[in-house]
Amino acid sequence: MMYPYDRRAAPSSTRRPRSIGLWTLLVALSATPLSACETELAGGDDFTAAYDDWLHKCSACHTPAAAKAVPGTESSLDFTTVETARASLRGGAKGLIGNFAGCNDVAFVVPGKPEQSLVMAAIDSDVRTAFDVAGTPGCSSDAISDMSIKVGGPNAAAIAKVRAWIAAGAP
Amino acid sequence: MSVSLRLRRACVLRWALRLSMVACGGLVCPAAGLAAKAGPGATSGNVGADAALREPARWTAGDSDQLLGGLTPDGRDFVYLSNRDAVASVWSSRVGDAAGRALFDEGADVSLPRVSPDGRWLLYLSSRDDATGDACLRAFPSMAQRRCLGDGRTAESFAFFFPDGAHVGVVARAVMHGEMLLRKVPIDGSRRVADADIVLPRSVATPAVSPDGRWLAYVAVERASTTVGVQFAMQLGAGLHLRRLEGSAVDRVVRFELPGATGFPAFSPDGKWLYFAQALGDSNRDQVIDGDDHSVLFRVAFDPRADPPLRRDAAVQLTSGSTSCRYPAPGRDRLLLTCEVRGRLDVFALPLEGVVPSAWAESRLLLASDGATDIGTRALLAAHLQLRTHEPLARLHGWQRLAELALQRDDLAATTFYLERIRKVAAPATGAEGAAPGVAAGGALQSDEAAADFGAARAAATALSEWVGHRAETLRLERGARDETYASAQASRLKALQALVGAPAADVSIAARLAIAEIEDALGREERAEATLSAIDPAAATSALAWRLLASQGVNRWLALERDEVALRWMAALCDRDDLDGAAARAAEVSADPTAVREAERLELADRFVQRLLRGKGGAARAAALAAWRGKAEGGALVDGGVLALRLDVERALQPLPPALGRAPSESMAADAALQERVRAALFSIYGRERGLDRRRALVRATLERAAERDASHLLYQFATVWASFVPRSHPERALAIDVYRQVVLERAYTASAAGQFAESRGVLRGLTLIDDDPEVQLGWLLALVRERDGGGSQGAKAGTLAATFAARARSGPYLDAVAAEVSQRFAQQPNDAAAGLLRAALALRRHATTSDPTVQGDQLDEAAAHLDVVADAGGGGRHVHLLRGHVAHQRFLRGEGRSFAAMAHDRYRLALELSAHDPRLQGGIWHAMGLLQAAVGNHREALLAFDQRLKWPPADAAMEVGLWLSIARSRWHVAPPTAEGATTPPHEALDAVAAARRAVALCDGATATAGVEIEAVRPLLPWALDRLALIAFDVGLHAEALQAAERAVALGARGATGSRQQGRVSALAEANGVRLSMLRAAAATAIGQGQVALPALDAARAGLSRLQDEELDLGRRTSEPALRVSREHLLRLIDGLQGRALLATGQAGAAVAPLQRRLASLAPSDDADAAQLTLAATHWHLGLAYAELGDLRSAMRALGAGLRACRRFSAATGTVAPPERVYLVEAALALHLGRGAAVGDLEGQGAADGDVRRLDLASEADAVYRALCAHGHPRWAGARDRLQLALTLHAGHQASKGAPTR
Repeated sequence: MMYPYDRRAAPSSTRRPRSIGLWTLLVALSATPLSACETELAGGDDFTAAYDDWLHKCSACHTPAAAKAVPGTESSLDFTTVETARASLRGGAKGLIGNFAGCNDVAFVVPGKPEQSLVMAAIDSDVRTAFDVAGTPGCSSDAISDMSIKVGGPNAAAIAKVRAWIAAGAP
Repeated sequence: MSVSLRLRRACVLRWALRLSMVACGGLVCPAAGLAAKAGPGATSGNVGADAALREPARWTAGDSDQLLGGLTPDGRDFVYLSNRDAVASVWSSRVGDAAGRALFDEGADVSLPRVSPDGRWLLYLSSRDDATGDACLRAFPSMAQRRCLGDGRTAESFAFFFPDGAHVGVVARAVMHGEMLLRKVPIDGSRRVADADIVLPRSVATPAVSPDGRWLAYVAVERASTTVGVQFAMQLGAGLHLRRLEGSAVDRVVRFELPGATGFPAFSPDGKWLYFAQALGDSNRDQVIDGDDHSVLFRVAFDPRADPPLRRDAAVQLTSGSTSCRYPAPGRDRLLLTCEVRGRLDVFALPLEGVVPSAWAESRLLLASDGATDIGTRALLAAHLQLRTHEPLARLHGWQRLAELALQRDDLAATTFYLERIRKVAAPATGAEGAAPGVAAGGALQSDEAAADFGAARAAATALSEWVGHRAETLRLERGARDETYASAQASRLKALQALVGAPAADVSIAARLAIAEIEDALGREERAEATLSAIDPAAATSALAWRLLASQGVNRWLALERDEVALRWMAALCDRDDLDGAAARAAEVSADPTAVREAERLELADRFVQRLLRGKGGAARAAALAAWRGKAEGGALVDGGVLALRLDVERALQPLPPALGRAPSESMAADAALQERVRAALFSIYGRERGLDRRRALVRATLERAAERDASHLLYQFATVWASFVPRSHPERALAIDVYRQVVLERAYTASAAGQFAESRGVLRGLTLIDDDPEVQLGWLLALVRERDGGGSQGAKAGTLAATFAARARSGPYLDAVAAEVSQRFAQQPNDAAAGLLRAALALRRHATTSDPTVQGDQLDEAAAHLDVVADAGGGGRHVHLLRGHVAHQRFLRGEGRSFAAMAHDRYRLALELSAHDPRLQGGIWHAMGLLQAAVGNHREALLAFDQRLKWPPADAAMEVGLWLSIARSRWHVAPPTAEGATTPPHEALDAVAAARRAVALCDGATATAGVEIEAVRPLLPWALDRLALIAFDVGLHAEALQAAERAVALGARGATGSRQQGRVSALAEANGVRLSMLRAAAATAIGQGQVALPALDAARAGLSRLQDEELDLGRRTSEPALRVSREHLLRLIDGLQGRALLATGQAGAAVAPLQRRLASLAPSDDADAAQLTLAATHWHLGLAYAELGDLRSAMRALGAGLRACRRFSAATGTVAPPERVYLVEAALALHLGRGAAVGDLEGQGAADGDVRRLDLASEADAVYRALCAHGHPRWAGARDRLQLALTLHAGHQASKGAPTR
């Protein structure tokens, strides 16, 4: 059985290709062209690096099967692989209950705006403390749980990479 | 919600209470194993090692005292003294493994083990050859070459190595009343103690030499009497003496700026620190501060170039006063110490700098103090703050704080000491200022206002001194002092205090009035006490000291006077006094003034207010009281939005939660979900409007406490998560917030597992393993993985049950491979991690439990042991490791590998138990295992004691509960006396055994009848429970119940065995079990006259036996499984006997002869045991009855005669004249002779063949039996006695009629 977050077990075809697609590139360029270009030119991928470094731990809870098993777990995220994680972060939160229900439907990632991205608030206490997104009054800092208490950390380098990835338009 | 879950929540509750403690404080939660090694910070994953106060790590455990620990020079092992073997002996353990070994057997008490600096010798005091003490050496670690340094001329009381390793220092006295002198003795034996150089010409205690050999530290011992030797009447001298061993031999006496007495100095290996123990107060109330009082460890920097080499005001407190610790033994990287926990001593370890990280700034100390709830920890932190305070006024406030804390714990000597310090600080102008080095005396006195502060402080100290003096005199009165002296002294004190009542400073006036009230109350003048208290206006408190005195002493006084309402009013008035000194500095979280009354303290008082307000009130009264007080805020009598209003709001929001006790299980989870959600919403609303950390902490703490009490899982998780997410990472409370979160999540996993939601349990635990190395989490995850895959069926196997073992085996194999794969993947990055080793060991044991091959089982035990060795090497030695090691040894014992394994298992279980004081769930499991072990050894009374302990904790699940009751039934059965022959009821112990078995059956029936997750786990246990019930009921004489149970068990077994013959070993075990049950059924049926039921059962038993191979009869002997464990011949013999009896009972006497004769044939040649003679006798009796039925009286009498000869052999061997078999045989023979004319001479039969040449005389036999029954006199034999009397009379008449002599 392949364990979800074991990146070594993931087939190479599921890894993010080194050359990104035209559409993604256009989106990225429109947001922060220089940053995206620099990232691309350097051959790096902030999100993949952050995933390999830290975010892969999120798959302990954030896979379709795992989330189903534990009520109240955010249910739309899928950190099985870096690509499923990247894709699922393009949506909004689902399945949160109780104190955290106010963040349902709030976007995980607002391209180009790390400070308004729910995923940043979940991993960066500074963003969380100041989190205030128009139209989502229920999703205050109190309604966002700190993911570092659940996976260990925080991992400052990984947070910086996620921030850069979002700032670059979340390609 | 099951009781077990509530139990778990009680643990969470305790953690919740610790939420605000920031420290363990008092070793109440001794950390052990992996978590302890890593430290509290490391368990949380994302907080630093210095995030919280450190807990001393417990290094030893056991029923006995372990003390005087010291590391070996390489730091890998430590030696210590233990009295677990009745005498005190030297033990050694690897660092990280609490299990140790005695190094040698001295044959007498030893003490003070010390390893030489080069690690080659062990020095100790022995009482083997000299009861007054010998300093002895042994080679280390071989323990060979024992030799002692004394020669009988001296009595040695203390010994240590000099740094050169070639000499030891020995404190010895030469004559009975002589001085206890320190001598320097060469270890090569060239000079005996009596001839060695005297280092110090005076009596000393606990001396220590610095590593450079230049300084000697010691405590002087003085004579308390001039008429006897110091040994008989000693008292410790004041302070610590330092003596230079080179050059000028001048003593420097250092009296540390600490209350109490100093002792046990010890230098650090680098010589830069001097550690010592300080008895801070008179904890045992014997009015002397000495080594018998609670002790606290300190260290002070040591500079051999300075004079004196240490500063008296720079001692750093290393341990909390909440626990008594002594014998400091600093190593290179850690400090070993001996602490008293729950009345026993154990060796602990701490970082060299103690429980308070040296890196903590004042603000950090202050925050920790804010959160600390025990006085010992607060005093510890206050002492650290005082060390860093140099400004005179701040130091004065610091001394006030320390005095007030000492007063709170009623430590009068320490209070007096601190009050003296206040007086000294408050007199800078006189030049008497002894504190604040580096600060010019009076340098801060720049204003009249400051001078007034000092004056008020001095006056308040005077009032407090009078107060303390009163308490000391009251204590003396309780110890027998004269009343009139006491009364006159109190009158003087009242007069002095009255003079202070009118002082303008609030501190002074309030302290004086509180003292007066206490004295008046002590003198029995309650009205005056009340009047004095009533004169105090709580709102008048303007200083921190006054506020705290009112909040503690004042409120307590009102409560002591049973005036709760007034106490509540005082608390309410004090709660919202945020205008007290230091309040202005509270804009930030950290106040500039460490002694200011902080919001956290006021919230704590509000908490106390609510507890007192609600005490003893039911639901409606609670709501009314809360509403009434909250209404006062709306009416302006309370501060709206103040701490009391907040606390009342929180409590009101929590009130809808119903008490957990008394709720039916079905009412808990789903039914409460909506209610919990409403409560959560209300609380979250309050949480959202409160932004301060202290206020949010108060809300969360109250919520978690109440949620834990009332089984509100949803609330627990929701608020533990928001709190951990809220507390800033840099805050010292972060570590505890995460610990609480961790505990709550763990609880959630347990809850899910108990509800059969194994996937959820596994998922929750999987997440937790990311941040928590604790074995409980790691093993919990493993268990959840297993349960998720086997549907919980393995629970039965865990209980050690036969049927469940079948069930588990049927499912064994693939799922364990999958679990192993997950474990490997989980630890792919850290394959040598201690947690990985622990899981692999547990997995090997799981495989052991689910395999049948003895060889494979042995391999699995070896593998588990190897993994546990790896865990130990990695420093893991916690309770779970000991439990698993105990389990391995337990299984080895059950496999027949030797009784020493049982002792080993017992030791490990005890260690695990010792280390599980804060883990009731594990405690329950350990007691269960210990009970099973004792039962396996045959110590059933010990087993029952262990099971009684186990019953104090709720079972983890129904399967385990069934297993527990069946184990209890078995042990009760073993200790019950046999049911007397002919008795109408079994003894109550036997009935208790039956009751336990019935309970197990009822649990199975109940679980099976109720649709739910436990069916699968419990159903396989029903046949086994019925089997045990049938066996015990039959044995105690409840034959009808035994038959009923056996028939149910046979029926269930028949269904379960369908088609199972192909499953090899599993079915062989089932077959063997079926044979045994059929025999039991037949025996029970025969006993109640249902031979027609017995006969087919015996046919089934015979058929089943024919299908079993010989080796299959012995299955389980080496695998700890149930089995027949007897030979085929034995079983056939039993079946023959039962068949003969059943045939007789159904009137088939002719058919009965053959099986009975077969039985006799198999018995006669081999069985020469005493009991076998009775078996023979009984069989002959049955045979005789059969022949009598057939009319063959000659054969009948011969059979009865043979039986009587067997009884004769039995009587000759045992001295028992009339076993029941002899009574039956004699009665039968008399009946045949008198009633049917059988010839008495036919009894002779086979006498010659048996080698018994004595004649069998029926009259003599009957007479002997009759006399024995008369002598015995038991009423149950009255019938037999009467029949014999009649028969004897008839026989006499019969003989007389034939002309024979009468009796």
